[in-house]
Amino acid sequence: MSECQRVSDLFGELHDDQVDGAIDLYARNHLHDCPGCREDFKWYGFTVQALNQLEKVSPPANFLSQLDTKLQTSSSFFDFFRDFFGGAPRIPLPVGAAALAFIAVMSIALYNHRPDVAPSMATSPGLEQLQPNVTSSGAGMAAADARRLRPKTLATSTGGSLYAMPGRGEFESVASHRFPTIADRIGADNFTVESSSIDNAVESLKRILPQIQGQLIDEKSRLNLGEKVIAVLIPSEAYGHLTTELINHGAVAAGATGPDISQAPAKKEGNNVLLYIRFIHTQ
Amino acid sequence: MFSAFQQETDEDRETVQDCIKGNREAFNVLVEKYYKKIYNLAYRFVGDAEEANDLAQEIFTAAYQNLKKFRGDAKFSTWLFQIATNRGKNRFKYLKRRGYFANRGQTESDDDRESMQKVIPDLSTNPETLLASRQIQKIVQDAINELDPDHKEIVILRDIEGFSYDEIAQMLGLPEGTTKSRLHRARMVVKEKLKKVLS
Repeated sequence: MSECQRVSDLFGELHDDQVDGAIDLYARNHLHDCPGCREDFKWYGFTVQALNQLEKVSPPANFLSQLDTKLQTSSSFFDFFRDFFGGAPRIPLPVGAAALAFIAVMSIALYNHRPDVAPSMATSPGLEQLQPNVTSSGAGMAAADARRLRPKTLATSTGGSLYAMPGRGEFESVASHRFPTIADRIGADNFTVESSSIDNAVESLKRILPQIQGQLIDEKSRLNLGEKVIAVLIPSEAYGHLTTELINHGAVAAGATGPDISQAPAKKEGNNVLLYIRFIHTQ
Repeated sequence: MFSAFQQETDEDRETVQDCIKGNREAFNVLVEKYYKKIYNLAYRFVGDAEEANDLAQEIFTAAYQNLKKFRGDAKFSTWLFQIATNRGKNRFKYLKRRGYFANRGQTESDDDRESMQKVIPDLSTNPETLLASRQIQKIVQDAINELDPDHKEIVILRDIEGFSYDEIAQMLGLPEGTTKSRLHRARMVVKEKLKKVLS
């Protein structure tokens, strides 16, 4: 390190007169002999003086009133939260954690609870999937449920295959002793609709479904036979309305008429009815 | 030295105790006492009246909200200026990141620049008049604005606000030696800026 550098490092202490005798003498001698350092030290002193003499800037006239308003606002805000939380008794951590867990469990239970499912049926995951919350949900919820409710195979609580939707192919046998058919309650079964334009008839039916809070569960065309089979889930109370509409659209038969759906009569589960409707060309 | 500082009596102690008990009037007394210094410090951090006003308000609001955390280990004024320095430094960093100071430099008029160039200090004569000039004040503030935050805070606390090394060391949580060496480096940077502009 050069002598100039060493002296430059002492500028602060020299300026504040905080250098002891020998070093002070050494630095002063160097400043006397070195014009560059002497000039630099003058500038250093000028700088410190300039900083010390920076004029005091005055706050605006309304500073205190502005601050007072701000403090009042923040005060009431913080007081509210202080009182809110300060008033609560201190809860030990394990108790708090247990309470939190309990609230979480209850929330999940409430979220999953569907009032339209009978307790005995709610234990069956297959059946639970057949129970969209049609009565308590909006159309959006029903649509979401409808998408979720398109299983190819629905299992019973015993684990056996209950039936397959038309999309899979053949309808399979039904454990009717577990699921009372609609005929038990309503006295009717699946429908066959004759129409000169199957597509138009199906579209008409689809338009009716939202009005009665019904859902399209599955749809299958049988091109070789020129027919279409659709499965719909509707509230029981809408059954009369739908059958009227179907008759208006050319329903010619009620009951198990087709070779396939004869194996899959409509079901009544809770408040909802699952119907299979077969559309065939007018003879 | 440090313990001697800690043992120094705090003239604000009783007023602070009243504030903690919920006496708003007592806090107003403290505000009245310190707001000019706090505003000045804020102004030196941000170099703009409006920003300084906002910053000073923020500092007092923060002090009011955190008063219960004040344990009385240091003087109230030290604690208050510690909050002010932290907030000022953060605001300065924030504004610098957003190019606030660069934009201000660009909007400076050419006339101002020319007039500054004409100020050639005669360090041997009439320094007070020279230092009081508007141009020099602005050049010094600009030089401060260009310091990095760690150097800037020490220059403001020591050379502008006049705190002792002990107090600064306590506020910033730095050893006294580090405080002194940082101050020296900061002054040297400002000196070079002034020398460049004025000579």
